[in-house]
Amino acid sequence: MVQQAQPVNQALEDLKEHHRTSTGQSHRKVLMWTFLGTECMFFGSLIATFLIYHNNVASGPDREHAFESLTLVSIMAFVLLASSFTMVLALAAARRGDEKMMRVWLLVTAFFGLFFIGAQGYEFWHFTQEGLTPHASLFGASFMVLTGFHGAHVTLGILWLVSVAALVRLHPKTDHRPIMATMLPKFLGFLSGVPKREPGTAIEARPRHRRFIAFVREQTQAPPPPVLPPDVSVKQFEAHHLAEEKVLNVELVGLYWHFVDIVWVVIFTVVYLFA
Amino acid sequence: MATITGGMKGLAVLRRPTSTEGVWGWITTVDAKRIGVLYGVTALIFLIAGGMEALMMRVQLAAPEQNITSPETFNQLFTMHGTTMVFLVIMPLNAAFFNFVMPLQIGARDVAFPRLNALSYWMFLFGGLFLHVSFIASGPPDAGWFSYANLTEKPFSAETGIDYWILSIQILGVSSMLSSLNFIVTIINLRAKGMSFMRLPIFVWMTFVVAFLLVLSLPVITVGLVLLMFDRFTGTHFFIPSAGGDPVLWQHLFWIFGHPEVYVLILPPMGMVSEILPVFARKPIFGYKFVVLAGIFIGVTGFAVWSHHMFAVGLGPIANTYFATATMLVGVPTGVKIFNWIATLHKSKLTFETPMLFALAFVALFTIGGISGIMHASPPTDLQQTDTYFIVAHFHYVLFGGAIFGIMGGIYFWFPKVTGRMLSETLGKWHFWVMFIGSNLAFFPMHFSGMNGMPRRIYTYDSDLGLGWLNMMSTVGAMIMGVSFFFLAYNIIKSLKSGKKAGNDPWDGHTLEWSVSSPPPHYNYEQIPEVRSTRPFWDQKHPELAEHGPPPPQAPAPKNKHIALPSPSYWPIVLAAGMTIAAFGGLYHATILPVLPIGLSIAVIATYAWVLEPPIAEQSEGHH
Repeated sequence: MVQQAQPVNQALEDLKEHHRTSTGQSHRKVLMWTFLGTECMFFGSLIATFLIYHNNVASGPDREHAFESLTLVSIMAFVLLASSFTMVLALAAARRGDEKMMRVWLLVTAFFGLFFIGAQGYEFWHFTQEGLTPHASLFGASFMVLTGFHGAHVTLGILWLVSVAALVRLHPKTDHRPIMATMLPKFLGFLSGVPKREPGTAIEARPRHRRFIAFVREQTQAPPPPVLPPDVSVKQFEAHHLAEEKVLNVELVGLYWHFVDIVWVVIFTVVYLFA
Repeated sequence: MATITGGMKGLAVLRRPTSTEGVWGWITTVDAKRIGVLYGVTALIFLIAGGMEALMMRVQLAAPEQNITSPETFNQLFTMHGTTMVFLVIMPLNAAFFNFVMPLQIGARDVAFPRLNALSYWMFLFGGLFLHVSFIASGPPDAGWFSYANLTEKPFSAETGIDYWILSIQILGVSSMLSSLNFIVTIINLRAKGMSFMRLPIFVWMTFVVAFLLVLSLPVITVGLVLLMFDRFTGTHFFIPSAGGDPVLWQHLFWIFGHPEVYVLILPPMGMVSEILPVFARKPIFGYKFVVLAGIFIGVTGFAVWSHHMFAVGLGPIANTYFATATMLVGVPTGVKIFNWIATLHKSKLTFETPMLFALAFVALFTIGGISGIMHASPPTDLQQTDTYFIVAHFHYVLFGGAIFGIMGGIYFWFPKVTGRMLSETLGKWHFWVMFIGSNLAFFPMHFSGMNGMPRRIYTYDSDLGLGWLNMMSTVGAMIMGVSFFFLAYNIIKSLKSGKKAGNDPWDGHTLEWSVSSPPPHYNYEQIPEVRSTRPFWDQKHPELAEHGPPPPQAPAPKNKHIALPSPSYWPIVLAAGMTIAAFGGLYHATILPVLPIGLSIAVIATYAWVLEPPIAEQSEGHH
């Protein structure tokens, strides 16, 4: 025997075995992708129902009339798509370990979602005023069931985003002061163009657009996942796994959120634009 | 990353139960093997209910122009019989095997999401009970297991029976959806080292295909049920023709789910038979890859043939031609499977233990059902046969002669693994022969009564039709079938009391589950085995004959090995109860009691408790 056998760290081997997956992907991620497959069938069936019934207007307004002005719904689509962008930023922040910005972007995403839901509530109210109700015609019924279920998905997503923002802690010791107290001044300072001056540093003399680009760069930056050294300790391994799981919490709600946004793109196109 | 340490600590108020003893142990269990047993026992109890309904119908039909049951009761009987047998017997019996056998066969310690698995079981149980509450409400549903609109609309079905049906199918749908997602992730992610997809046992493959069928088809019926629910609860008219609604849309939505669903019922028994035949033929399965690919092909094609249930609707020549062709195409992979099973038996040293008898009967009876199926794949033929007893004969040959015989084979095959005790061969053979004779006597004459004009779903018939003796034969056969289950019940009770000890490997099995003790330890495998072929355990026993060389020697488990297992949890049953209570609230939406919000609140609290309860002891697991 030239080489002495390394003593096996049994606890580490057990831990590795416990977390091993055949694909290397987390169970929850595989679950989420499969679940989104089922959601495709769900919305597919609702959209098919709408396409079958959209000409059945009975005594209510028809499609051309109802969707005459697309201003509001275009704004809704824009805001929802923008929320996909902020979702990406939230995940990037989580990957950086930037817990505060993760929370900010999650809540901004939820806020955009809330705007969408509010606008949809107004839209439904408006349609009801015009006589387009689930009872007036099958066009109204299939339209409202389809967009209503999409809205329910957005609502669930908002609850999920807020829950993740409230519950996920990337670090054990985090400044638990309310986000508004810590982040709002920074954010307002950024918006007003007055850079925040750290004590002992010179004021950055960059023009505002440069600072904006720098800010976007910073926010979109996500380092590659850390590679574990071969002589990793049990503690390190466990910490690494936990950190991955926490980032995954953000990634999963992100997958769901992006999917719901994509569904809206399809609904917007099929229901409103093809009118 | 070194700064990122420590977990989200579970809330101190949420303690996970630790005891696995007694009734609480079963209520809070997250062990797939226990959940499998729960599924099996519950389904066998529902089988008694569904069987009684069938026998009552057969008594009514034994002779022409009888009035033992009223037409209304008869409608309720066939609706409940169909719904019970599909959703509460065959599907959960299959789920019992998915839970117990599949993780063992892939060399896993449990499924990927143990608590989700428990939730699936409780939702199944509560959904089944929910459906049966309709008996003491205003009467069970009476519109058939496919509940065609617009018969199911308020003007024609004013009572709550249909509402119970709609909501219980939703609850059962969530249950199946969650368990299917769970099984998909388990099979993708928890295979033992070396167990590539093309080395999965065929039963696992069929589990995988079935899980995909369910996750892709259940959302479609969900939409149908939701639309029907809006019609009944809020007064929309999705399926009311007088207001422009289209009842055929319901048929499409139902059968886009319903046809994959019948493959959901039959593919797992096909998988069981594909495990049983090679063991008792002392040979590997013939053409493993073809059996697997045929199963996948059947699954994919299952989504392309739904309208063959609707030839009588008049969808037009193009649609009918397409669906006829596609349907006949399904016969090809099915035939491939049958020939593979037969080829497995060819030149083999067969032994005829009870599981083998059931498996052989499966092949024969399923083939009869398959051939009559091909007959009404042709629209002109189908127009003669649809809604007659010929169809009833066809699907009972596939679902009883096929699914139930396969499942019975599975029960006799894996019972020793589950309990550690053998079932009696003598009683088993009595069970088999009585059931075989009874089912053929019951279902074979139905071909003739159907061809001679006996309509399906009719509570009585004219004595001039001359169908009395055929019906009497069917009734006698059904009674004999009923008797056969007493042999099974007695056999199980006797085995549990004084059955012969089974040992690890009573049948000289091929797959990994036979390498562990009977019943298996909670953690299944101390050392996860490494796999090199489709018959990993057989290779271990006969290394000199192993296909890919002798398997790597199994190192004994180190003494200080620690196996982390998920702790039991209260929340699956609470969450399932919350959703079921909410369904009651939704059903009686007009009443003052806020049952719906109460149920939803319980569900929401249970969800958060689920997320926040501490991860498994010592080692952390991700939060869902």
